Amino acid sequence: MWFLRNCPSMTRMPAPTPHERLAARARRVALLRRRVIAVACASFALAWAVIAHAGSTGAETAANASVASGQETDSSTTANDSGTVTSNDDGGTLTTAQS
Amino acid sequence: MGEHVFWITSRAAGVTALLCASAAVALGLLMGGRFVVGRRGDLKTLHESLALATLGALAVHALSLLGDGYLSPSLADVTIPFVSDYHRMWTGFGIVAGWTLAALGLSYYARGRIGPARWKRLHRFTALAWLLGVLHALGEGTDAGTAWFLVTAAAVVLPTVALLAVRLGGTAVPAEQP
Repeated sequence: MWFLRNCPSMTRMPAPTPHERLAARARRVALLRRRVIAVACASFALAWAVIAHAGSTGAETAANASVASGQETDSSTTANDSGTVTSNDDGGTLTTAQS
Repeated sequence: MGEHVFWITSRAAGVTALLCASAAVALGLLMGGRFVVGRRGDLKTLHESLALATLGALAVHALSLLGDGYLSPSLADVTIPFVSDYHRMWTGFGIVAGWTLAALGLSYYARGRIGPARWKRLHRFTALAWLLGVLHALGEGTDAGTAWFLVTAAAVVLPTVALLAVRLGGTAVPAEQP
């Protein structure tokens, strides 16, 4: 596991004292924690960049959907109680539902 | 872009929380199922660090939503389950999962008072909370329909689900003691 590589414990020291062992353990724990924080921050930055680059904000999509469904409304449009809008023209049927 | 900073931040933090939580649960299952030998102290530190990183990401995931001008949720909407009108069920699942992960994760520091055996039994419910979080991500997540999210989620969720299935099935082979 790459997280555990090159940790201070890998260095063989002849008969370390309990104090040295505790200090080495503390260093190893601190190193692991720093690596986890670094990986978590990198994941966050990468996800942020991918989401921003993809461009879909969710909110925009919902807004565009409501505008689009509004534009479809005409004299032949009917709406029922469940929020489903049905438009019927040229023999074709378009149905949109608000989620 | 500017008006979506909080929304994007929340989604990115949600993805980070999913990755960290999945890794933490997988490590916990590996250690508990005796799949690994040696360096258990390091793995325990890794497990704890990932769990704390998950909680940090979850806090950012929820609190950054408060700055989103489009959704404009209240503090109650993002902290109390089934209060928000936005995808009520999935949001509720996410909030329940978040609080459960926080409670079970932070209870580690009070295991002396709780009792190690009782704490260990309680800690097993973390996997359930994680599953609830996965449902929240797949059911409500704005990115749930995108290929990059599905591939990323599958890479961390499927191995963890497999480990969980093995653990629940009781087929873990006890590792030989050195």
